[in-house]
Amino acid sequence: MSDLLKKLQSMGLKIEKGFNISSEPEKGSSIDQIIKGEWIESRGERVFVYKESYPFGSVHGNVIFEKEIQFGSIAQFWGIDQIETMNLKDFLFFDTETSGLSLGAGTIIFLFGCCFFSENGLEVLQFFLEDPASELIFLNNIDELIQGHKCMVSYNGKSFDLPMLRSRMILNRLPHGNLAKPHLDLLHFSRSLWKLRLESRRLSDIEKDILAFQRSEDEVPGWLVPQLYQDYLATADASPLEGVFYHNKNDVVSLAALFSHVTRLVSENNSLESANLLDIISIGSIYQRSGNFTLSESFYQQGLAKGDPANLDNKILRDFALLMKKQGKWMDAVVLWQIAAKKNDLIACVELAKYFEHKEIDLISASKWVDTAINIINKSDASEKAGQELLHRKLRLESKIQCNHEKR
Amino acid sequence: MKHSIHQGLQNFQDALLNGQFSEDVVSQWVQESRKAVFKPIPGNLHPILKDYLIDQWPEGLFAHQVESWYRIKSGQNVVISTGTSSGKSLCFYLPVLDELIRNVDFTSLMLFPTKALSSDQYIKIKEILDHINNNDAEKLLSVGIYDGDTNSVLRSAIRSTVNILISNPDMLHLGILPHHPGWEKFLGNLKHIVIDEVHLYRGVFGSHFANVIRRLKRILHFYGAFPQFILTSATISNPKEFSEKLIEESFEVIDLDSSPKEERHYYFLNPPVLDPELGLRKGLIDQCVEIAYLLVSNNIQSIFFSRTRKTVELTLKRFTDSFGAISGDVHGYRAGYLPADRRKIEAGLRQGLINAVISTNALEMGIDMGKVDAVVMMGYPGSISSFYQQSGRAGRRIQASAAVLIASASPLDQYIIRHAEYVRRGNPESALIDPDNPLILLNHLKSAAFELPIRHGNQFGRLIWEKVEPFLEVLNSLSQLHLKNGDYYWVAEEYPASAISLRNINKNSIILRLLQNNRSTIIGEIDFQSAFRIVHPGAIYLHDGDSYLVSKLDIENFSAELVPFHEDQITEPRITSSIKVESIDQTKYFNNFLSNFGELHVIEKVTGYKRIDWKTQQLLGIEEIDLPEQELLTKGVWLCLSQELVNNLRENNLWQSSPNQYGKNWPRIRLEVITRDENRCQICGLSLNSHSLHVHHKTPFRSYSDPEIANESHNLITLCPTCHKRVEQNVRIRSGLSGVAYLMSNIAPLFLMCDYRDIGYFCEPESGLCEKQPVIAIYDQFPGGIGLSAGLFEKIDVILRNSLQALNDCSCSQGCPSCVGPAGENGIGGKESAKQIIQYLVA
Repeated sequence: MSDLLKKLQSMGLKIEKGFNISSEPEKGSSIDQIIKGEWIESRGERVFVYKESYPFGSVHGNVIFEKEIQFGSIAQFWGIDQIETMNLKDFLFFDTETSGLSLGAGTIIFLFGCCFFSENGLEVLQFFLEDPASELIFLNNIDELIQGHKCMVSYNGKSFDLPMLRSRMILNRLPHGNLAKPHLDLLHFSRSLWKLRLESRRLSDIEKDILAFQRSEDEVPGWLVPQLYQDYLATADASPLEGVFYHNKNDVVSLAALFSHVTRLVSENNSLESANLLDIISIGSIYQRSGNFTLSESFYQQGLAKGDPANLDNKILRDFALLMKKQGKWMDAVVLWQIAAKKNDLIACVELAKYFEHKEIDLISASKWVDTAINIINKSDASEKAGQELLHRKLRLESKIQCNHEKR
Repeated sequence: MKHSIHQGLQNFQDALLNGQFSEDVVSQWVQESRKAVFKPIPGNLHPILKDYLIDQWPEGLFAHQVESWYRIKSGQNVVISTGTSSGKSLCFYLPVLDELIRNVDFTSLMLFPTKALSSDQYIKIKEILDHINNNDAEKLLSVGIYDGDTNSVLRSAIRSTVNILISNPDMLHLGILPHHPGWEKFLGNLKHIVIDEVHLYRGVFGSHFANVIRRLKRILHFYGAFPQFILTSATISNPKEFSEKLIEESFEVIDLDSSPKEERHYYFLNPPVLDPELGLRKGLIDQCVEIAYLLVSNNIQSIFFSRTRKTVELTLKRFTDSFGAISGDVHGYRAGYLPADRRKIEAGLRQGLINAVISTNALEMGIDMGKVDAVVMMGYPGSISSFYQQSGRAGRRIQASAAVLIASASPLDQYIIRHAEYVRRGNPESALIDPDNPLILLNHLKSAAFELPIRHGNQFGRLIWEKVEPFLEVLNSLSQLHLKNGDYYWVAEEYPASAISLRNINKNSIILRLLQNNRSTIIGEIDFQSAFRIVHPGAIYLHDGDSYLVSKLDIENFSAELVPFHEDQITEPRITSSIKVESIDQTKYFNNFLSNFGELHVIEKVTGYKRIDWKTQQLLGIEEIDLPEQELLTKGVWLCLSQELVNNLRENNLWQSSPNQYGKNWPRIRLEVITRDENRCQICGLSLNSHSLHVHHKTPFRSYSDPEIANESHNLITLCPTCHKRVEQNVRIRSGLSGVAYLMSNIAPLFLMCDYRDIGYFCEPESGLCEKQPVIAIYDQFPGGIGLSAGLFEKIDVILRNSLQALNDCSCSQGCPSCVGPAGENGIGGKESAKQIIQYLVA
């Protein structure tokens, strides 16, 4: 132990119990003994890369990788116009493994995994940072790959992997303009797509629940990854990293599979026979938000056709009704509101009251719906304000009725 | 110009000078009102700003503001060290804004020590920017605050758009530097760094801050930015040296204050002595309540500054108890009050609705509450810059004001009260730091490596690679850094900045748990280093005005348990310590001693504690406890007294003191002890008859208020006259040494700008530190040291001379808390022997 360390300890520096002050590491297995990859060398530096191919027709869980996918109208679903003119080869699915979870300048990316479609199928590439000192060539290779694609696809990449890449590029004085290209963060879509029926929208859970893919025993949990890399640097033994490569590869393959699955699901001429009712409704509401009312309506209709609307959540019925109302399809909206109203939906009753008062000028019906609404309020613990508004509406209707009566 | 003075204030001053308090006012002087020295607005200032100045300040600029402009424009780093309210902000606004108007891509970083100051500055800067933006459609300059309160949605907008970023040192350390790639654009365009109130960055905080600056400069160099530094400071004795040590750049000082001053009357008041023998003065609170009554009944709006929150409450209570009828106008103000209540009090002061506020230093800075007629400082506020900050709260443009300092019994207060010239003449305080404190440095090197790999051969600030590398090796051996091709990389998972608090050296602290009604609540924490002294089992701990008894100290789990305590008692720890020298860095030779500076290993053990009656200061009992030793490896100064000096002391044998009255049973007790000790001297073994033998009190008789306890047999020992003389001589040398050490460590803060608790002292008549000669050691109470001892070493002769002066000034007979410590503590003749020793030391 150095004199300085002793001095620091007597000043109060705490060293974790059982920590072994590191001596020279024994030579363990190197990365190329553990992973069957290759070295790319340039200007005296090297980066380790692992490659694997999934030919078209191979499966990942319940997804079959197919050669042709039509994008066309689904660009609107993803909210990125450029996708309309892209084809499958333009997407780069990626994920990074880092030395820590904070986004600070001291967290490094040590494994960049990605996959993309080629003539033959899905190609997986994983770049590994053998040592922090060779980060420049590592990042150069990543940047080249990004440059060769038109759209990046990630899971939570917008808030983590992308800023992380940007930060690493800056620290290595590399231009980071390529990172500004279109970026699909599938986490955002999973959130809206499976909000209605899944508890967790983490990739590992989506993989199980939607893709029906089961990982093998080689899998290591994500939270363990930083520690494994730190151990590798301290001991120069790469063996524990095998699981990290496995974890990262399956993350990116699952991304490609998820993308294929969702793309098929949301395209207009897709047969939705086997699709889940709630998923179809959710697609309808995503299209509703992105402004494609035609597709939105089509998905809602197909969803409703699949099961008894009475079993649907009132909120869904109301959203659909709103879509219809905005397009002036009042009768469709009224039907939906009535289904919801039967299931004691306050807002639907109010909508109906408004509809009858202003559109139909049927004050008696309007008044009935107000009564129903007041009944619902009395049974629930809704706010006093809502109740007062209703009473106000009721009084106004009554005075109008009275007035009409007198005119006659 | 003579200011008018309102009748109430006239009555108050009459009472101080000729009436009720005239005996107690030891000095008074008038700061004459002074006209400002104006200079024309610089010709090369951008026209938009020129228009703004002409509009806002038609009289022109103060001379020092113009000087700042030219110096900063010429590219110099400057530190502006002028008085309070002297328009320091404008000194940096002008050059910064001028630069930004001319190039809208440029940016500036401004660091303020408190959130209150930050928001105050934000409003002022925003106003000028609005003027600029309104007068030039092409300009869209913006300012933003980035601190712990900044909305997370706004953060990324602030990062990418602001020209002027207002922040604080903690945020720079914790939120900006570790995330610097997100600040690429801001940092790359940085032209100025403004650091306000820089004198606050001293001691531990300053030593940390200097390292934050080292990290900042490293990152700035990475982005190719080399900004200029503009510092402001209260008046201190070493602005240039301090700034250069803090920032590690060369600095020019601007200290000629040309702002106008209002007429202000200063009074130094020493509460009257009630017991001359013990040196007891009238209590500070009692004294202040009388002054407060005089002010309130004369309708003089005033602020009382107290040093602790507890004193605020006690004074308020005493005032209400004594003068219920008029007490409605008096309010308390301190941290812990609700923000809404505080705003109400501030507004009340501004609008003249509130007559008097008793406050902690929370009202000292950065809060816009207008000015009052009189300020009363309840005890010296700890530094001369605080003294001026607080007295600066008094003063209105059109009439004179008063500032009154009332001394407490502490030696520094008693010294200051008798030496007003220290406050009146330039400030003797030096702000001190030690950026190379090993623990602080280690932590910041971790953060630095996190921010950017540390390349082989790189300096860290001015610290050369050869001194940096050993720390990196340590971090590598702890697997926190990774070494490759000579460069060090951060690889650990954690976020190192979050493990550093800029206010402490060690993050370990003891949590204080209050056990009450079967519930346990955390009421505070205390740093590990002082825990044994303050929350040992049996200690009475004061918190927020209430007393608690420490029922348990659990060191393993870093917690102390407290229970409510309702008696008027305090405790004082008894500590034995020993010191070893680790290394001697420097030695200076004087006539009768030599002074060393170096690394000391202090081992302290709390062996027990005294229980003392709070009101009468009487000793109620001494308890023993068993706690482990505590080590402190630190920097210190130790004085080795020469053999000649010791011989002179022994020969002089001047310590004639009146014999003690040992009580009526003494003859019997004396005989019992001699019989117990078998008529032998317990040191040399000499056997004599009982008339010739002496009986000695191990702990001096005078330490006890109760003779029966003093005469308990375990405190008594039989000695022969020769040994007794030697023992008494040693006791006297020891008590003299201890008196000198006590006095020095209490006077030193005046020069070192620190709290007296920041330094520890030790003395020994026959010490291994000095080849068996007497030693007096004074050391930094922080592991690794923070520059206090280094400052002490430089000024040792000045501090000795001032200590002697303080001793001579004190009117007590045997020593008191205001000079060498209470007489009983150090044995009889403590004051006299301390005086002899210092006289030899300064000779």
